[in-house]
Amino acid sequence: MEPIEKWNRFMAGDDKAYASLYEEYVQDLYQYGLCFTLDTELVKDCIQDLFVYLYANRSHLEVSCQVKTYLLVSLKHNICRSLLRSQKYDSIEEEIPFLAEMSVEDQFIEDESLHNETHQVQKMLSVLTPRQKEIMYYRFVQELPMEDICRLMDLNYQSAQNLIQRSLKKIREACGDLFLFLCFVCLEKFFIDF
Amino acid sequence: MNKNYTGYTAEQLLNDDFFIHSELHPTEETRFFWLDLERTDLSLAKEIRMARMLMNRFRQDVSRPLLPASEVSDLWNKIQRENQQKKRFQLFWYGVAAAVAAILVLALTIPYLLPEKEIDYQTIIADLPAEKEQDEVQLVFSNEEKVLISEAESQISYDEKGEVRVNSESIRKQSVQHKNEDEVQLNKLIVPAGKRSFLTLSDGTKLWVNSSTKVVYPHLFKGDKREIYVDGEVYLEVTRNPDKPFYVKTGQMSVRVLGTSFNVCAYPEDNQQQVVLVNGKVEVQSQAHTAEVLAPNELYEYDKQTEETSIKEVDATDYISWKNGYYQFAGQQLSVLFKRLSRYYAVSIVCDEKVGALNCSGKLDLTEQVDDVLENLSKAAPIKVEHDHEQIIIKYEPLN
Repeated sequence: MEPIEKWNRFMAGDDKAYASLYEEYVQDLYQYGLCFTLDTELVKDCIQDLFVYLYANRSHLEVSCQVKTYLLVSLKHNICRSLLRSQKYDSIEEEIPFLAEMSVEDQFIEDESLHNETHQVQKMLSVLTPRQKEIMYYRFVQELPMEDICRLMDLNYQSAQNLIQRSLKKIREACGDLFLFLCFVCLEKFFIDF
Repeated sequence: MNKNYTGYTAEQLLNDDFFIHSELHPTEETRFFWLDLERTDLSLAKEIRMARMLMNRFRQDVSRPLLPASEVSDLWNKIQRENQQKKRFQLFWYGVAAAVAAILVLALTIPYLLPEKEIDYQTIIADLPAEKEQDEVQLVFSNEEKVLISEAESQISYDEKGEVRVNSESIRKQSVQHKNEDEVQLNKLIVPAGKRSFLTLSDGTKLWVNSSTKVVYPHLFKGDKREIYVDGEVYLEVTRNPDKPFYVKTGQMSVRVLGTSFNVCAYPEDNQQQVVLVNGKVEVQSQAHTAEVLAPNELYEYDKQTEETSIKEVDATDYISWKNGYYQFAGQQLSVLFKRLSRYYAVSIVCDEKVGALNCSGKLDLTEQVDDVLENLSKAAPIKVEHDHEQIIIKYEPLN
């Protein structure tokens, strides 16, 4: 079933569709939420609030983008509000920085073999602004269509394109050596794979 | 897939939907497509590898652990529970809202639903000065101001605005009464023995008020009913108004009328309270008894001692003759007759039991002096009239 079809059924009062939407998107939402904070409880609470809100307002929700985009935007909004309320961030700051808490000792990097490279990768990503990271995240991880990304980040299409281009160029300029290194790693793997 | 990727840089590839999709969801077809390009175009191959590397690194970098399956279901249960609670909460508030609405509606309608606050006439009457202390008619306004009327026959009338006139003279005191328009202002008329009064109420209802009678009435009839209280005897001609029934209350009775003429006799010291209907229709209720509807020339009587009610046919004119200045009676016990005369003339008439038990019929002219009236009576009945100071003593004496 297409997500939008599921969504429409849910809006019409189908509880099974509601459960199915949760099943389909809970992991994406959870992982996305953890890009703003490492507080797993807060992310879970925000997902709960989001689904409760959807249920309570199901009769009058308007979705003009992909269901996934709608859910991500809503969750981001919930998380930002919670974080701003907890005063972890200055309320003058309009946006919660994306991937702000990334560190070399990041607990999420589980693959031991990657540890050596982690530092290099870190260097590569560190040249990107949170906003550049965010747009790449939508592009490469959540695979959102460009028009949704534009809406999510309040950008016009060209600006979004430019933002990606600039991000990538920045990485190449800053980490030319790294690229070579990574390419070797990649080639190694590539040959091993084959 | 016909797209020519010759000369593409890594940046361009990473901005290419097909490239991204191929990387994230590779199929046999896409795998070979890109592999083919890498084999044939070495400079592109470098860019492809770079793009691929960058993208994978990025994805790895931002990869976050999945929510463990147990927590996925825990979270779902929490969501379900909160949804149920919200539903109940919503129902609760709907309930509260409904209750509040109901209370509001009640609060607004209760004044109309509840019977109007009963006026405690007994207390009002008890608070009045005993009529024995006064030999003048007293008109007492709600602000306790009094008008004393010395004439034996007086006329008191209220117009539709509640302005009062006594013997055709307007009473300025009445203006003081209008301080609160909404409050029922009860006026009291006290007619002592030996005096009579003719009272016209603000709705045009006429009351002939007999001696030794107290009447309590509002200067204007507000609300959905007209109500007065009577201790003693009155003859009423009630102005017809079906929208505002008229009630005459006495110590034990309540007479409900729409518009009619009837006599109410309810002296507190008498055992019997009576209603006699001249014309129209009235509904009488005494204490716990069910309401009775009277037809013209019917006498309703309530006995305070036996607490019984009875209805019998009579000649109504006998019972209302007093208002016209004479007293007409048929088969009347002399004890009752003397009681009436003593009230009417404000004298004390005493008789022994033998005399009191005598029955007589006839007509007495009440415009005459009491001595003349008794003198006339003694010609028709076996009695003798004696004077002892203030008292008149009636003794038995066979007729010659």
